[in-house]
Amino acid sequence: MTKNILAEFPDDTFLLESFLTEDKKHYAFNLIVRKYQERIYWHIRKMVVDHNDADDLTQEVFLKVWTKLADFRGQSSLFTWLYRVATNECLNFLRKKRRKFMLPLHDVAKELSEKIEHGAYVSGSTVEKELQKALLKLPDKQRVVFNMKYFEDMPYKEISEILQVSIGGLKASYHLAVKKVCNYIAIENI
Amino acid sequence: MEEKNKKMPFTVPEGYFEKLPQRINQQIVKKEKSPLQAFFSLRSVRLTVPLALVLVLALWLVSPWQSSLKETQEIILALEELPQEEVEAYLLAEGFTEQELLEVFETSGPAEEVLPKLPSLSAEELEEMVDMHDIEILF
Repeated sequence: MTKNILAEFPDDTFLLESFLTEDKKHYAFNLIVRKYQERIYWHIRKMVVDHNDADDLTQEVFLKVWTKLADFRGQSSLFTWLYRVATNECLNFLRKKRRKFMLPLHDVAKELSEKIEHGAYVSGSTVEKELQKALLKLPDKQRVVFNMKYFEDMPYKEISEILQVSIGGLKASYHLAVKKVCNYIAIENI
Repeated sequence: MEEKNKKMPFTVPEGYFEKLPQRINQQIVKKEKSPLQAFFSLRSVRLTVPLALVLVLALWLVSPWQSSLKETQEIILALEELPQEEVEAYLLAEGFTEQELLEVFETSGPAEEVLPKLPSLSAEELEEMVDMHDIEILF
């Protein structure tokens, strides 16, 4: 569904060129937001779980895009750059959350688990919820890799460009994450 | 890890993605007007700033700086009340030569006596000098 949405919009080169033209800046930015908002929002939501947090972070990502896009030199694709900004926002948000309340990984996972069970805008099957809760037991960076590969079906090359990690490292991280998640689910169901 | 589990249990409010671009645009307009206004309109900031302010105030009230500030003020007042002879005797005991002390006392008179005399200039000439001074700083 998301890929069809992307096809409705002009390509990124056109959007970038328009953004750098003063009288088309707002128009181009609006198209960039409409083109990528859903992918960015869902990428963030999977990491932070809560809708309000995801909403806040999505807005912050696009505010950063507005201020920093003029400096973007096209070393990577616009999509890769957007995902990198969103990933950094998520990881910083979770890091700050832990630091602010001096919580270990386990307690943040517990808080987010509660949100999966009883939070607003959560309405999936038990299996879907169990998988999300098992994912919360992974370290944040490993969870990002898992989400991109498993839910978004992204090629390793693309993930490697976003996270700036080697493809070999990503493959190892993903396989380890799958193994851990299977174990967590098996333990929960004993 | 079957395909059927690939769905997520999350949803969004009705019409969320239709309204999001407009909300982002509002943030940008606010930010362009005042970066602070946009910053404080973010939910996370709205929640944490009042708490942070209360904490800072509480820390300041119980901090040791309060008492050290009072102590400094008391020391300054006590020094001001010391007779000049005692100050001179202390300075000599600390190894200052009489010549050095004389130089200090000679140059510590009222400002109009100590500062070099400026040539008498008209208001227009002074204004011109001030304007030129600003221009020189710019370059």
